[in-house]
Amino acid sequence: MFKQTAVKQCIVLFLSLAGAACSSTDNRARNTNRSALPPSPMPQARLQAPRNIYVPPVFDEYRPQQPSYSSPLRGYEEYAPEKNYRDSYTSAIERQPPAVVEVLKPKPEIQARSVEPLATVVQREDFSKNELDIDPFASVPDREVLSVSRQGPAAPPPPRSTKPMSRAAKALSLQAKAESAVGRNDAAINKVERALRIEPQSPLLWNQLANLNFKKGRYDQAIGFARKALPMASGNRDLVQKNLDLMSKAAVKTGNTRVFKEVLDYKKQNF
Amino acid sequence: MALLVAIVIGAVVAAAYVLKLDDQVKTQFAGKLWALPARVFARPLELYEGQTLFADNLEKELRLLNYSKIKGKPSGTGQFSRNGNTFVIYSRGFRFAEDNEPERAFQLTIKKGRIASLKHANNDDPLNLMRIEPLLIGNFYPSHNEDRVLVQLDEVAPMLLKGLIAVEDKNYYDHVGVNPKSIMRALLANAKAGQTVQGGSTLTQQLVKNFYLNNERSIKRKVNEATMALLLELHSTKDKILETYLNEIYLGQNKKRAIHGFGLASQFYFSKPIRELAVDQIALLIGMAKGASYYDPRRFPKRALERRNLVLDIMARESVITNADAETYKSQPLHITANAPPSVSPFPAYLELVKSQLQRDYQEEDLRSEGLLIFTAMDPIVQLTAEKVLSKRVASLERQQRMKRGKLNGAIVVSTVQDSEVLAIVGGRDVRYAGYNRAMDAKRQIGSLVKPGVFLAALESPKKYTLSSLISDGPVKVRLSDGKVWEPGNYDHRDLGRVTLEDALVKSRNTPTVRVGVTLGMNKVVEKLHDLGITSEIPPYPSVLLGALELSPLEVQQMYQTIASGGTYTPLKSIRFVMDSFGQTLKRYPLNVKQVATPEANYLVTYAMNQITKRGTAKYLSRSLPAWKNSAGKTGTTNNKRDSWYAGFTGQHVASVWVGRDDNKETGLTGGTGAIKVWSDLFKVLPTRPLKPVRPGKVRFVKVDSDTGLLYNSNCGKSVTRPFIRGTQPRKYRVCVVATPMEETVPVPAE
Repeated sequence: MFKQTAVKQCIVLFLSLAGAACSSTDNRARNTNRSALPPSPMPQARLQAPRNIYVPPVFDEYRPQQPSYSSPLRGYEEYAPEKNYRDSYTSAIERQPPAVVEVLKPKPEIQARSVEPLATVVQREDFSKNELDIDPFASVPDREVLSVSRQGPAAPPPPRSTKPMSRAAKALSLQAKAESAVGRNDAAINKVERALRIEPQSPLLWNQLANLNFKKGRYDQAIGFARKALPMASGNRDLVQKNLDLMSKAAVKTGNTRVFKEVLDYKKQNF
Repeated sequence: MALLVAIVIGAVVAAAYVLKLDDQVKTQFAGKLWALPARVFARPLELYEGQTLFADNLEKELRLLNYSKIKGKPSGTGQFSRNGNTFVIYSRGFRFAEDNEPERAFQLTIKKGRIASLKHANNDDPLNLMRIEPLLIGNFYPSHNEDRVLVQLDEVAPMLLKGLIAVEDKNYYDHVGVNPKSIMRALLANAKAGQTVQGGSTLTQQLVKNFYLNNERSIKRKVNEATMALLLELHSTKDKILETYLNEIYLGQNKKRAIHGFGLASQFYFSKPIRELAVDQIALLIGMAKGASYYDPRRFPKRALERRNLVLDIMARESVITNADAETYKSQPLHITANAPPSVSPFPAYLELVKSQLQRDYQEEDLRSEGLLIFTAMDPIVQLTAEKVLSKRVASLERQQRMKRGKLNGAIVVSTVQDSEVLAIVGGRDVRYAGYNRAMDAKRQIGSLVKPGVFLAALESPKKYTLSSLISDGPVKVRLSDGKVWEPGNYDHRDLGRVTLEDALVKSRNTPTVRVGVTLGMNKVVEKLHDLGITSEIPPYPSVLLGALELSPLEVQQMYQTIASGGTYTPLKSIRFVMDSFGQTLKRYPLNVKQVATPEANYLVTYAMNQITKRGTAKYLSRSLPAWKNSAGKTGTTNNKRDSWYAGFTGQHVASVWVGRDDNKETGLTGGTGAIKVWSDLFKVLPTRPLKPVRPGKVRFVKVDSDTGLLYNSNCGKSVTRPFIRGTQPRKYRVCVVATPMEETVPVPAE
């Protein structure tokens, strides 16, 4: 594919030289202010400003594209290219979106699976009947399950939000709290990151990290960490609320209105 | 009169000369003395109850750190004993920037691959969490290639100081830099013997000789030395000079690098820090101060032994040690390590990544001479395991494909999901040499590895695409802007009719991917790929949809890292923080997240990629890995089977594997027959948490028909439970058409 491109560009360059040679003989009398060669078809830097006296080159590819909203041919799907003239002048030829022409093989009737003449349109309220509020990954054990046969069916592991933190992670979390109380936020963040390596799925730790980043003034990061904590805290309403509040506070500081919408959406969906 | 003038002029000239020497002494001594290399450390092994750790891996780590395995209780730092799965370890401790890890004697027991109990060895204080000191994995040396481990006077055993003074300069604390009595004595001895047998230099003179001047032996040089020694004593204290001596004296050669100072010499000859040396080892080092090359214990062991015993005798004579002790030590062999430690790092591929990250923030010269301490996230156990796995499996694949030996090669990158820290980089089969680092520098076409990115971009428009959307698998033609038409086909040249989007990803179908990508818009797909972390330029050609995009394994790793962590982009990092030689933190690299894909779309893609390991092109994993090690991933194969890729993740680790030939010829391996085996070998032995993606609130599972993707009709068809974003699930039930046997002329739609 790339070789083709290089060869194509060589051919175009050659043609451009040929074109220049031909056209300059025609216009010699006109005395136009044109350089010896037309602009090279190699991709030019986008930072170049277009020249004031622009003489368009003589190739089809560089002709300004009219949006080809031609009548759609039956049976074909055509992709309308965008009106991005600048790009088509200053960049390589290929930077136009391609058109898809689908050729569907004529399918024998036997294979028609999409015959749905009597499909009933189900009303909106019925959809929630079909929804299963399950989490198939919840039955994956947290770690290696060695002897299943003896113990019988293992109890499903407790949901993430209510699992107690291991002692090591709790110790680090407390140390981090102490450090941030003294004002050493960087050291506190270090400790919480260390705790997260021990216990990555703990919503309390992510929440603590979000708070510390908020205190440091890193509001975007605070939003990101609080957002990460949300699904992990899904059973614990207070914790979810705390995270959402933190996201709103940080969004106020950065003026990020999309986050407000996200928080509202979340509240609508779940509360 | 003339004589007087001559004397005065001579005195003035002498005074000027002395002042010049004085100036030299002052500037050399007052300014920074040594350029220290930057040291790069791996991660410190964290120990806490419940930590997954295999006993053999713990022993391997301790051995890498040069801990000696002894029987019975460890008495000093740097020792451990193992009794089955119970370890008693006396750790050395380490000073990190904010928190100090003290040296500890502790005991731990490992049961079923986890630490079952961790406590202090001597008392009953609780031990929640601790770290073993990090392994040194490499150095960035200053331009003149010197290296030192600085020691302070109060850090060395007093025995060493007393012994040194007793042997080299008995009256060190009494003279003023030059000891005329010893010079006289030496002259007499040399005159008697007819050659130089004794030296009368004091320690100060030796320091001056070592530090400032080179090895000329003329009268003029000796006079210079003596003057400078006197001046040095004027400007400094005895203790400071002794400390400088300890760190400056030449004590050996490690290929290109000179070993200066007792701290580094103790590592070089005994692989131990200086405070763990025994008396006979100290005596050997003292003996080498006189002539390190002449008394090299590895090249001239007999000479070294004699010299050491002589030193022990002198020490006994000067009452530094008792006579009985001296006799005991003299009968011991030289307790040196048989081989010198390697002069280059054993992990050049990882160091290359560290260097590239450091160069963004530090100047080259500062990097090499300020004595920075760089703490990385590398896990030496994972690194060594990955190296072994790659070299074994690639050799076996090579034999299986009947290729010429040494032609097939590969690369692995391993990182953690949560913090996006690179744990291991394997640049090829030949790991110990700083050769071609394929993991970072070999850009190859990624093939189908790009498909999760394309479908992720599609699923971000949930009203248009869901996992159930039917897409035609038939031949597709794409008209390019230059008028040409591109007709990609499926790899098996089959047409499965219409496939659901999930199946298109799970079975890695080409034509549906092209349809989805082009209909969605190449700009959207390219933007999503950039969001996922690919920084290389991605041309908006439709062939990119099938992976005509050249990336290195590290870039592929970044893309799959973003998907593995729920759609949050965190740049892969190797350095955690950088400390200066005084213990201050210079720079931290904290966790940084940026949400680049909606959690819901990311969950759907992760679900589909998990299905790939269960019923798709990566089915091999469901056989080779235990069922609880749930993972997700994607195979990748390029044209003519030139490159074999597999990138996948569990709940804790992400790994990308590439297998191929350096000369880019065909290997006959696909992603599902080549790279996946390396990945599976690695994850069979790597302790990792299984994949358990957290389900976002907006995602619900719905029972749909497996063929049509519509709601499941219990009368016909097979059901499969598939996740959907709420509100986008199919609204129609599948209609069952019952075949009536009467109508035989009209073909009946099959069920």
